[in-house]
Amino acid sequence: MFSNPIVLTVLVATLMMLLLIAVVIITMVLSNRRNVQQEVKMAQMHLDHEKGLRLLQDEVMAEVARELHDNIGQRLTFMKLQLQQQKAVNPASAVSLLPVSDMVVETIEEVRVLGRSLNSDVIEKNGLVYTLEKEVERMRTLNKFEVHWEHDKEPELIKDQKVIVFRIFQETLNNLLKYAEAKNVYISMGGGSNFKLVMKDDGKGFDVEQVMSSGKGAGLKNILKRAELGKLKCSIDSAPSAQGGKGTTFTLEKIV
Amino acid sequence: MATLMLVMMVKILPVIAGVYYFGHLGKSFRLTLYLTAIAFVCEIYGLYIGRYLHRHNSWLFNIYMMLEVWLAGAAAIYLMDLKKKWPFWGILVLDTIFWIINLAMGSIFIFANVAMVAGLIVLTMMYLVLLFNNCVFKDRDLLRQPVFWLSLSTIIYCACDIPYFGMHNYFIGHAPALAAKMIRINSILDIIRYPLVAISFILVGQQKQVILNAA
Repeated sequence: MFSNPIVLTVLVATLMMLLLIAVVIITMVLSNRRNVQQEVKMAQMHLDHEKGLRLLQDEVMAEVARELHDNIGQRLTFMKLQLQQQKAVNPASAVSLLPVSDMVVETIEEVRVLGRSLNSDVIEKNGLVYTLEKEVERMRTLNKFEVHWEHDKEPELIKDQKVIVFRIFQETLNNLLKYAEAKNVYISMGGGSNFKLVMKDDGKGFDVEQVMSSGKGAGLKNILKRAELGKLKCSIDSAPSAQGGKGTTFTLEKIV
Repeated sequence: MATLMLVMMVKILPVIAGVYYFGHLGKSFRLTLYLTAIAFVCEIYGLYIGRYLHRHNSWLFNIYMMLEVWLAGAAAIYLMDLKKKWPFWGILVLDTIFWIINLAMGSIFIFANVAMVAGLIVLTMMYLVLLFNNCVFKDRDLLRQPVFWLSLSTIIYCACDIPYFGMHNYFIGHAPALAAKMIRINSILDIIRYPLVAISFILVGQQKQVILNAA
């Protein structure tokens, strides 16, 4: 069979064709692998850059919190003391000064709460459960919806992850406040090594894909980006009430 | 006979994979699935006509070759990320005209090997364009792309079959004993081709599932 020159020609031509394809494909695979590696490096650099920006943002927020506490807080406390002194010196003015005095006390409290929510050091000092609880309390005072909060022990997360969870929690609560029109919000957090934060509401819901693809989803994109930075898995399950949706469920958990 | 059985078994692989992931397959991959199923049926029917009825089965493969060019060609065209696709449709039409002329010059009962070679060249060229267009310039892992495996299967099969089909009628006419042996080239290429098509179907199915899970 192989002595026939035509058969030999056909076989050699077929093998040469196969060899040519093999060379082309191997070259392509190697070149593609280089491209993919480069792309991974670029993505890592981008992630590091984002992380740097977030750290800077946190530092600025901490600085603002310190300024609120040390400067504005002190001035307000001084004002409060002055008002008390004025009331003591001139008891007749006590009635007229009462609304001002109340407003100063309220402002001091608000500045204190705001400072605490801006300063991420509080999380490290008091723990995530305590910090989230304070946020829940702050929400409850607004009387916009009923907050049902349950939690386990302190989750095993590194400091950066705790800060990210806290910021995402704040952003999600703000979104709830602004858009959800919910009556009840159910928040639960699994602790220890099984960290899982679930925030569920009975509000009007929304079309996740539509919001994400339109220019309106900046807050949501921010949440997803933060979660990615903290190596956390984030999922949002929602549908508009017109499409039979029953509120929104937001889940944040640790990537195992 | 053992090679033939192996070819049959290998040809059924992509059909099973394709049917299993049918819901996840896009237009192009569905066309490829239909082509694979038709190839399987033609192989069995061709065998039945040739070996058991002892009649010519070339007419069946003459028809199948045109179906293959159109189905595989259309699948490639739909997958191409190009604005102007009409030249490729034009090439398919030209190939069909060439096939008609080739049959008219001979007979439907004589295997139109020149038209077959033309079809193989057309498909090789189209899938090379598809490979470069869809895979090479994208920064995704090449080995995870279904289009890569589909293109690879077609390029290997079509390009490597050109020398054999070019000489097919010569062997039939001058050395029928050799023709029976040389057909193994096509069988070996079938054995390479169809598992690669099955891989592409499985990858489409798995990637669609990953996307659904993420959503």
